[in-house]
Amino acid sequence: MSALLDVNHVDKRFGGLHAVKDVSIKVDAGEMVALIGPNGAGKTTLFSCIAGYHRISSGSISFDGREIGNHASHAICRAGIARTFQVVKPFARMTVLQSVMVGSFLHHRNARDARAAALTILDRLHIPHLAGLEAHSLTLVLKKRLEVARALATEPRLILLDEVMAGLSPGEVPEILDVIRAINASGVTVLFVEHNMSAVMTIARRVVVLHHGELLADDTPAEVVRHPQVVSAYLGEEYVGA
Amino acid sequence: MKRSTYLWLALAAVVALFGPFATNSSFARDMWVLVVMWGAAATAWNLIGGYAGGLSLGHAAFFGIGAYTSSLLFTEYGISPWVGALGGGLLAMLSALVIGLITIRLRGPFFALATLAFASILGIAATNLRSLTHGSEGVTIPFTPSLGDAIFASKLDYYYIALAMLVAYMLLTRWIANSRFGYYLVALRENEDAARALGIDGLRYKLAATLLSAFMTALVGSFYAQYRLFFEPSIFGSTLSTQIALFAIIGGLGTVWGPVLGAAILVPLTSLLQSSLGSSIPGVDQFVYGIVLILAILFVPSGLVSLVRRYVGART
Repeated sequence: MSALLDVNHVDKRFGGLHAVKDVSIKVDAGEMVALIGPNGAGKTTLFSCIAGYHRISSGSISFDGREIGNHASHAICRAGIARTFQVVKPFARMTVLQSVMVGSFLHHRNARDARAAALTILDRLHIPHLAGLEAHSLTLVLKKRLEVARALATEPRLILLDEVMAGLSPGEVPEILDVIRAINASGVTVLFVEHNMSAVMTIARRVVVLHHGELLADDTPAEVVRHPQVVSAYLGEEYVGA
Repeated sequence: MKRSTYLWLALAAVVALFGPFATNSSFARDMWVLVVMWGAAATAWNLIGGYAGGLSLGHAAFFGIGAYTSSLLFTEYGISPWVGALGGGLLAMLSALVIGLITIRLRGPFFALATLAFASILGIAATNLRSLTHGSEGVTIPFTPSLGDAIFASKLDYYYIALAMLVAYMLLTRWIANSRFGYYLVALRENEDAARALGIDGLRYKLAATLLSAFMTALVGSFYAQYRLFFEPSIFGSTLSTQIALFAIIGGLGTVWGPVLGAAILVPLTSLLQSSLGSSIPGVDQFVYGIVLILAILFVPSGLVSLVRRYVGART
């Protein structure tokens, strides 16, 4: 079986900056894969390449057997890949329900169906009580949750989550982990960028490590933390023997 | 809808239908026609300017195309303005397609400047293409009142035609605002990157809004020509473009009632200031008008319609 997402020798240069160097990653349908690495490793850049926000300099990206490299971002969403933004981009003057409806409209033409679909999503993310609030009035943590809700409303087959746990207090992490697990259990393949290592270790079945734009490791969580280069580049010595 | 909303709607309907009968002064009736006509133009502008967030300062282009097309088809070829207006609408859409493909990718002030330039170019063309447009002497439509020629002796006839147009535009706006199209336009206005991530083809939807807005604006332009029976290339001027935009901005961007409310207040205010102050010190009426606009934008930035909403809402 071929992979759902096949990132094949992708290179991304911004002028003299070589942000992503010859990275190849395969993600199979139903997987939950974490993408980790130090700041500036190229994680978000790689996401933006997959989602059509950056043109790739060379290489190819295919989704479900079809080439999507350098396709328009809206076309990539329609193909079944949804993303969230690390720096949140709310529709400030729309309510939470309306924002999620914008996503639902992709597969539900009329407003009544889109509203019903959006309400289901809000329930799944445990935020039905926020439906009537305007997006600009939410806290950063809830804006991140809204990013996930909007993306999920497009009914993707693959969702790219970019640091949705950043800024959460330790007490709030388990809830979002449950949400992500439930998304994955419903059949959506998940590729997520995260710095919260305990969260990564808990839910990811595979961890891909980027460093200076290069692929450093691609293995199970247990193996990755023993990988000497990963430890020295990112995790630090306290992880050795953990 | 709440019962009080229906009451307010009924009140608005009574005022709109019977208001012009309150007086038979020609000046007052002219005011009614102008309010409704500019209200319709501002409602058309609001689709792209308010909902999609593309601040167009060139809607005089579409308005002028409508006026010129229907009038020239009528005076040169005897084609009924009813048909000519549709032709003007289609021509405005065509020009919106060409200009839209070039300018819609531009964000913020660059889009506004590009639309402004587009209308200026048409104004220069209308002045210089004398064989087609009669140049700066303008277009005069002979006064031959009849339904087929869309020329009427009574201002009331014009009023009800404009009112029908305004109501149709408002209903269309309301329908769009509650549909996928409307949600997509607002999403694009609020954050284009995020909208694209949700599968929205920004260019396609903004272009569709521009074409529709251009068509609607051109129809109002044809109406204006039939009502005034005379116009000149200044119809493409930036004054007209900014007026249309201002009615919607002061009334309330991206709302169904904002544009007509803005026109209902600003149109009479302009002529009131002109008649009361215009003769004392030249230009002082414009000065006062400017002050009023500044105050409105400072103190009611989300538009007069938000004040009305607060008042109507508080009474339920």
